[in-house]
Amino acid sequence: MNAIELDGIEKSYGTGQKVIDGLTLRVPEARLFGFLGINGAGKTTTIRILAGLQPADAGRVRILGADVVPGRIEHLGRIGFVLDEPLYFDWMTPEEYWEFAGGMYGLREGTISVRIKELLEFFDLGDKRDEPISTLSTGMKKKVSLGAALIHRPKLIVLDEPLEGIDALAAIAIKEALMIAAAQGTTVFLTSHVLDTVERLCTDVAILHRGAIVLQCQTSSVRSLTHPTLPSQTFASLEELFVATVSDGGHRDRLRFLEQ
Amino acid sequence: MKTKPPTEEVALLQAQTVVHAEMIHFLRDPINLKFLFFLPPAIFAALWPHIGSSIVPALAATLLGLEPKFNNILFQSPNEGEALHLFPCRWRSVVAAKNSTALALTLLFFLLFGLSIGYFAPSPTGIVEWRFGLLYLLTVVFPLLHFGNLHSIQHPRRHLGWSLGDLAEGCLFMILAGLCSIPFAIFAQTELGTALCLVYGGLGALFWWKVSLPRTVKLLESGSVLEKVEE
Repeated sequence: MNAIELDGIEKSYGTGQKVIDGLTLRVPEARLFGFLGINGAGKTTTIRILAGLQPADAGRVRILGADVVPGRIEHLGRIGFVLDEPLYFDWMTPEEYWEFAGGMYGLREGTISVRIKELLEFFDLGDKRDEPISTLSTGMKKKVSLGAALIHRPKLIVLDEPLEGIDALAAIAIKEALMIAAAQGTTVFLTSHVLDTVERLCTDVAILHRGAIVLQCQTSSVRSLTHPTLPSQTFASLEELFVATVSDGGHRDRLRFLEQ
Repeated sequence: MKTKPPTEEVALLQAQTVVHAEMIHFLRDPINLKFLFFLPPAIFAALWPHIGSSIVPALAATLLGLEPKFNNILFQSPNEGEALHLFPCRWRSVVAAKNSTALALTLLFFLLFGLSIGYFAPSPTGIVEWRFGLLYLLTVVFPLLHFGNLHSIQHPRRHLGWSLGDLAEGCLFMILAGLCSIPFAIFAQTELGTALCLVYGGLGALFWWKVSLPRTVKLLESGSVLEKVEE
């Protein structure tokens, strides 16, 4: 079964320009899936559509076997979201926010307490438990957001840029948490620009370009794929494959003033 | 370990969670200090001989101060609406919890304002006036909750504060409160005023539970509120 199924998704904004243009994607269950694309490719819009925060203009969205339609909430109890903008209540402390998230996911108080204790220890936030989220660093905020997305043991976690703007220790904690969840059968769907990390972390990747998927493969096969214009050449890394896929064959002008 | 309770219990857990969060937020958010700014004018109004009773400015200050709790239920903080949509919200429970918090705060601040303003008023606030105030609130709060819920979805405000928009919303809310006071004004002229207020208030509560909440939930489930909120 697929954790996420997108069929012919289209989305335009005010100017009429299509941000998502016939996006079709299958994300198999229990995979760590990297959803890649340059800025403006439509990744965040896709995630907002998955989260039900924006409706698609056309197409079908299925998550964990359920159609995403306005008013349907059952599937949300099996998903955790970490979005790029802070969608938590930043006046709460980490502990309060996790209590809130646990309560909204319908967990009992005893279960919430046990999990909060473990989350505070795992994410090393024990000394920040009583400080408002608004005063925490970006890395800590991402940990808080991820903690809320994990507290109900979801079947699917959707993360938009979870590794951006954070220090190495926070990144390690977040990657570890995602790998633990994935090892338990949770599907992890994330966007990131940190391509070497995605290559090491993810089992599958898809590249979104101009609102549509232009490549989807398993990460293990990246280095055996052949170059589209140079068939005798393979790729040395996911980064190389990504650049070849989205650069439209253009070349960059030289910075002559730096070369003098 | 069984961690997932049945649906009805989830709805109750969500309601408790929302009430708890709303109360903490109200006590913690500095914007709610604007309540205090309404107190001096209310005290001055109570000193005016033609005001009738010190309860009147207490009622006005309470309703004006709590306007966002009625009129902007989904965006008490800037991203609350989106954040709530990421959870499997039983919207009926969530809205009922938010409305219940508004009711509780209305009663609490009416009592606090009534006592504070009564202290400065030329004549002490008597039992009759307190009863007058409570009966008045009973007749107006449920219509205000109904209109407030619909307004919260039609015209959500991402940021609350002292902007001209907030001022205009406050004025419109007070005009609406004035219109909702008409039945009370009529009932108060009759001998059966208390009974009529109680019956009218009860019917208002029934309408809120049976009609207003389902209508609000239906609008919320359409998801349109997130498209309407300004950035």
